[in-house]
Amino acid sequence: MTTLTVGVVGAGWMATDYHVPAFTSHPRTRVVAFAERDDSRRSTVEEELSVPGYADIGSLLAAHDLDIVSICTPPSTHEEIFLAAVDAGCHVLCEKPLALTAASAKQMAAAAADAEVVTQVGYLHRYYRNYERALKLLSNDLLGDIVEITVAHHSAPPSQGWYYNPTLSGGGVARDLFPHSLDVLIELFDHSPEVTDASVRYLRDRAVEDVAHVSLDFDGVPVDLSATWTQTDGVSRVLVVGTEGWLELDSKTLQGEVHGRPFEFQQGALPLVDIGIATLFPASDEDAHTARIHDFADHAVAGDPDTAAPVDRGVAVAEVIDSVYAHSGVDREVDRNTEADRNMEGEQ
Amino acid sequence: MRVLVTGATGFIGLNLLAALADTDHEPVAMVRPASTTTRLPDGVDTVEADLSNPDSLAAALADVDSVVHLAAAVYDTGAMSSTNTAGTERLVAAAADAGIQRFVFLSTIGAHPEIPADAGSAYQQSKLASEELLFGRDHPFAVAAIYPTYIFGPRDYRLTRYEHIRPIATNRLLVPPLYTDAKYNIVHVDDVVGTITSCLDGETTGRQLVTGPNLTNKQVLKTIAHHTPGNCRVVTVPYSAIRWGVKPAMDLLYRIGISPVPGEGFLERGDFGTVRADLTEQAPVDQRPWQAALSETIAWYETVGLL
Repeated sequence: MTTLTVGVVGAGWMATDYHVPAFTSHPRTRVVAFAERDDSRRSTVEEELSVPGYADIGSLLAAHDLDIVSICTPPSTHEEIFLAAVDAGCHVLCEKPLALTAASAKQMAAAAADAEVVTQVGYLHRYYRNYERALKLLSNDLLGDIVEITVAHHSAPPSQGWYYNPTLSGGGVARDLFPHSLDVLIELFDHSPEVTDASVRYLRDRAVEDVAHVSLDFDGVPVDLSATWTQTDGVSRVLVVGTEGWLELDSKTLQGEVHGRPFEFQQGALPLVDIGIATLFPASDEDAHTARIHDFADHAVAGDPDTAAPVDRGVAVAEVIDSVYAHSGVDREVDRNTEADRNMEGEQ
Repeated sequence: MRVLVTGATGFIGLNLLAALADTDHEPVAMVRPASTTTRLPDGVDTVEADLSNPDSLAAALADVDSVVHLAAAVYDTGAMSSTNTAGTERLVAAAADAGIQRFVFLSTIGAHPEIPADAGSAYQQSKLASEELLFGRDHPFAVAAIYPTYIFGPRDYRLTRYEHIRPIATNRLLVPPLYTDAKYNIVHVDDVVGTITSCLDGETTGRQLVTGPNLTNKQVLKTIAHHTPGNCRVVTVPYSAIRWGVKPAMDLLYRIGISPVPGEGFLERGDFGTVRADLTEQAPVDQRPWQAALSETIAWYETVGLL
C-alpha cells in the first residue's frame, strides 16, 4: 500500500493544529516537509514536527517529490503556491478563501484542470454532522418546497494582522466568513445564486468591513446571509423554511418540524434518552476539521477529483463575494504581490 | 390506460406513482396549484384541479380512462365534509360525464359495512358518507373501494408514523410511560398499491379489505426496536402495571411540578385498525409481511435523515 507524501505550506495554527495531525492520522498520507517564511517560527515547528522546513514553496517542491500540497497561508499567497503545486503535479487542499478575487480563482481552476489533480477548498461547515444531516433532509424534499433561508455567521475579530489588510486578505468579514455558508448553499441548490442586494459596514477604523450582508436569489428562493466580526465566541446559524416545515441548525443543535411533527439532533445524533420533559444526548467526538482533511486525503489517494468542494466551487464562491463588494460600492481590485505585501505574508 | 390520480402527492399517491412506472398504466397526477410536485417521479404528467371546482375536474378528466381517488383531508377536521364527502361527489359526477371506465376509491377500514365505524372519528364518518354515493347508486363505470387498516411504508413525507419510531430511536430503554398500551393491524403500503393496480387492471371490483394480522403492543414495539438504530430494549408490562403503577406515579410527579401532565392520559389504550378475527389478513393480492412494512418505513426515515 503506497503512502502519499504531504507538504504543508504555512506553519500557523491551522497547519500545526489541524492539517499536520490530520494528514498524520490518515493511514495513507504522511507529512514529509513544510514551508514557512518566518525564520523563528520555522525553526520552532521544525523541532516540534521533526520534519524539515523550507522558506518557500519553490524550495519545498525542489527538495521533495510531493504528492499533496496543503495551503495554510494568508489568501494573497494562495494563487502562487497553488499554481506551483499543480505545476508539480500535486493534489492540493487550499484553505478558504481560495483567492483574493474570482479572476484569480479562475486561473487556479484552469491550471488544476490542465494538471488533472485532485483539489479541495477548505470549507468547514458541511463537515459538521448537523449540516450533513440537514443537507440530507433538504435534498430529500422533507420540508416540501424551500420558501426562504436565513443564515447568520458571527465571529470574534481575527487576531492576525493580515485579515485587516485587503491586499493580503481580499476583504473583510465577507471574504472571511461567507465562504463557509456559500459552499453549503451552492451545494444545496446545486448552482450559483444571483446577488440581489448587498451592503457592508465598518465598526472600527479599519481598511476592511466588520459587517456584511447579502441577499441572494437561488431560482426564486430568497436567501439572506449576514456576517460580523464582533465580540462573540462565534455563532453560525441557519434557518430554513419550507412549505411543509422548517429546520434550524448550528453545529451543535439541529431541530425542526414537518407537518407539526418535531425532530431534534445534537451533533447529528438522536438523543440517548428522551422522556419528554428531559433529553440526554450522547457525548460527541465530532471533529469536522479532521473529517474534511481525511475526506480530501481519501479522494487524493483514489485520484478522484470529485471532492466535496473542488477548486471550481472556490470560483463560484469568489464570484458571489466579488459581487457583494461590487453591490456595496467597495473596490477590492488589488495590486497583488507587490514587494511590500510579500514582506507581510509570513505573518500568521 | 391513462389514470387520473387525486392525492398524487400524498403517501399512497407517491407509492402508487412509483409502482405504476413498471406497468402499462400512465398516471396523470392531479395537483392543486400550491402542491409540492418536486417529489413526483420524473416525467409524470400533472394537471391542476381542485375537488371544490367541478369545471377543473371536467378538464382534468378529459382523455383519461380511469380515476384513482386518494385525495382526502385526513387531519383537518374542518375540511373533511367539504373535501372528503362533497369533493368525492363532484368527482364521481364529473367522472360519469367524462365516460371513464373505472373508479377506484381509497376508503378506510371503519367505513366497511362489516366493520363498526368509530362514531367519534370525523375522518371515518366522512368516508362512510361516500358509501351510499359509490354503492347505493348506478354508475356508468366500475366502482372499487379499498378499506385498509393501519398502513406503513416508505415515502411518509408527512411523518404520520414517525411518532411510533422516534421514541424507540431516542431511548435505550423503552418502558411506560414512554409508550401507552395499544393494539395494531398493520398493512404494507405495497398491498394497498397492489390492490389499486389490480382494480385498474379490472381483476378486482367492489369492496376490498386490505388487512393484516391483529398485533399486540409487544409484537409491534419489539419489531420496531429490532430495525431501528440505537439498540433500544423494549420492556413490556401488563396493562394493570400501567393502571396501578405508572398512572399514580405520574399523578404524583404532576402534583409536585415535575411532569407537565397528570397520569390519566397514560391509561389510554390505542387501537390502530384492529378488526374482527375472521376479517384479518384479507387482500385481493399477495401480501407483504407486516414486519417488512415496519422495517421499510424505518429504512426510509434513515435514508432521508430522520433517524
